[in-house]
Amino acid sequence: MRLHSLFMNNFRQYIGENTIDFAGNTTEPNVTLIWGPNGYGKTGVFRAIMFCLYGDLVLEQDGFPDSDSTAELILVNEKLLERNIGSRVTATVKLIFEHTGSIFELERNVSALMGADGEDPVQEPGRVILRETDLNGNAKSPLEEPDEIEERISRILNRRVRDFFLFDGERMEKLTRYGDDQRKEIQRGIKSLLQIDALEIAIQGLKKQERYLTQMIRATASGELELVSEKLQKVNDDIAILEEELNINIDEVQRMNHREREIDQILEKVKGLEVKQEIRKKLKEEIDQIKSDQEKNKQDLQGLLELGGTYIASPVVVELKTDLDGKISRGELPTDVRETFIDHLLYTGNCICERCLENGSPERDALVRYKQQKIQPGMEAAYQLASKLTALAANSGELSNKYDSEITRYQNLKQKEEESEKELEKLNEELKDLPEATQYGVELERIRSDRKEIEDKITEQKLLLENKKEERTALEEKENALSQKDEISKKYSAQREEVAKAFSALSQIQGRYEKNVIDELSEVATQIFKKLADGNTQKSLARINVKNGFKLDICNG
Amino acid sequence: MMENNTFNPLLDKDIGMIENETTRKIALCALEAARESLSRNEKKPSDFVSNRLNSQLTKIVKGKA
Repeated sequence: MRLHSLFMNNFRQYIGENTIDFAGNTTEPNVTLIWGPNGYGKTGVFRAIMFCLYGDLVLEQDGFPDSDSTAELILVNEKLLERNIGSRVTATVKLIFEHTGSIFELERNVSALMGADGEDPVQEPGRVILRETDLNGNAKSPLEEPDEIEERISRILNRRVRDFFLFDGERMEKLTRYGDDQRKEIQRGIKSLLQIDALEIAIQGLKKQERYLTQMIRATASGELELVSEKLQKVNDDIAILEEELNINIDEVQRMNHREREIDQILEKVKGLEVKQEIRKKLKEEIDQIKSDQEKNKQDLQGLLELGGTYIASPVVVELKTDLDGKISRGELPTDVRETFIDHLLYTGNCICERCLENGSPERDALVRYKQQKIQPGMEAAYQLASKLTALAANSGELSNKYDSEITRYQNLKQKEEESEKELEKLNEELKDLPEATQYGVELERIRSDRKEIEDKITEQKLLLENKKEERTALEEKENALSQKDEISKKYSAQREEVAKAFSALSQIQGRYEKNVIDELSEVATQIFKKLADGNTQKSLARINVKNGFKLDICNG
Repeated sequence: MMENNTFNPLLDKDIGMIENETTRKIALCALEAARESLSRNEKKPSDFVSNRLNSQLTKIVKGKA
């Protein structure tokens, strides 16, 4: 189906005649985009198409319950109704479209009347007409019966699947949300599109008919045949229950297998990251060592700086020492007489030559005068400091080398620290979402134990089912033999036998067909979704699986 | 007869390949009735199929009994 044009007259907010010519009748462009602010009639266009094709008076997003068959929205322009109180106003929608080479022109009217009493307008469906011109330009007789038109449109785009071809932005937004309702909606869509739902209903109908025929056989038969038929019915019911339980258990085991594979993959990933965890641990230790080395380097540098400070002050002290040396060479200072030595002589009162230095003696007075004149405060300390500086100056090259070495060490440690921190940060990021292996280990254990239990149950159920089926075969043979005796029962029996065969054939087709479709659908859905998804989703999306009765399941890698 | 939907040619092909003619006719009758029930939005589609089968079976299984 390709839409050519849409004509609306007095429909919803479109007063007067309005026509939209859709793109695509020539080669380019082939898309028509309708956009605008809320309330400007985008949905009105969609509503007009749905009304024209199917006579819909409401849309899904109007929020009326499906069960409410009387729900309707006034489709005639309400301003016109208010201006024409007491007069009937008609709205018309005409859709021209192409399908398999034929051109269709579908026109549908609806009218409404607003009473003077101010009550809500009363709406009535109007005339509908479908004109068709075939590939060769031959016009067919127009259809004017609503039922005939509905059937014709239904053959072009079935009402059940139309929502997956004709929908507006609101429905698109709803379908793209990932929730259980959306999954069910998509499941329903897939089933409808592939007519799996029709196949399921056909199978259910056959089963129902088989039961009905069994009842008829029982009603027309008597005595032993009735008993056998009853038993057979019971066995059939038991088989149906058993098969259902068995399928549930098989599905459960499959689900567990799937989960087990998922967990195995997760644990494999964890294992792969163990090496990195070890590297991270070593890196942390290395960083601790670097920090400790940095502390030591800091202390060493402080020591060197203290020495360096003294060295910086050396020119002043050296000048002082030079002055002292001058005084010594001029005899203004003894080279080796110290204040403490003079104090010692004065204290003991004896000279080293054993001369007495008693108070008032000329020798003692001469010594006191010498001390006062020659030994000045600070001179001694300056002299000692200058001597040390002389030694230090001799070693200044070594100090400078040590200083350079510590600075280099500082730079190296700093660089090493930065590199290690960066590497650690990278590893932390990689290991950020590392799953807890223990937690999955426990789940895996539980799955394996539960699965064992279910598998045992499946074996038991299969055995029981086999026995029941054997019992059924025997009862069927007996029932057939007995019903041969009864003409009416014979007829029903023959029919039931054929219905059972058709049931079995359709069930087999369903199994085979679903399997093929599921594989193909998973593949195609994954490809399409990857095309539509953004960059991050494309990276994380592993596959879309179609399972559990055509629900889509998104698996991330 | 409802027009077959062409989204599932495999399905119709599979049914067309049922060897036994009577079985094939019953299967097709059930499937067509199911499609119609969905198209008509029947409340009890499987009952609709069963009723349709009931009315057609005598003709389809004619001579079998």
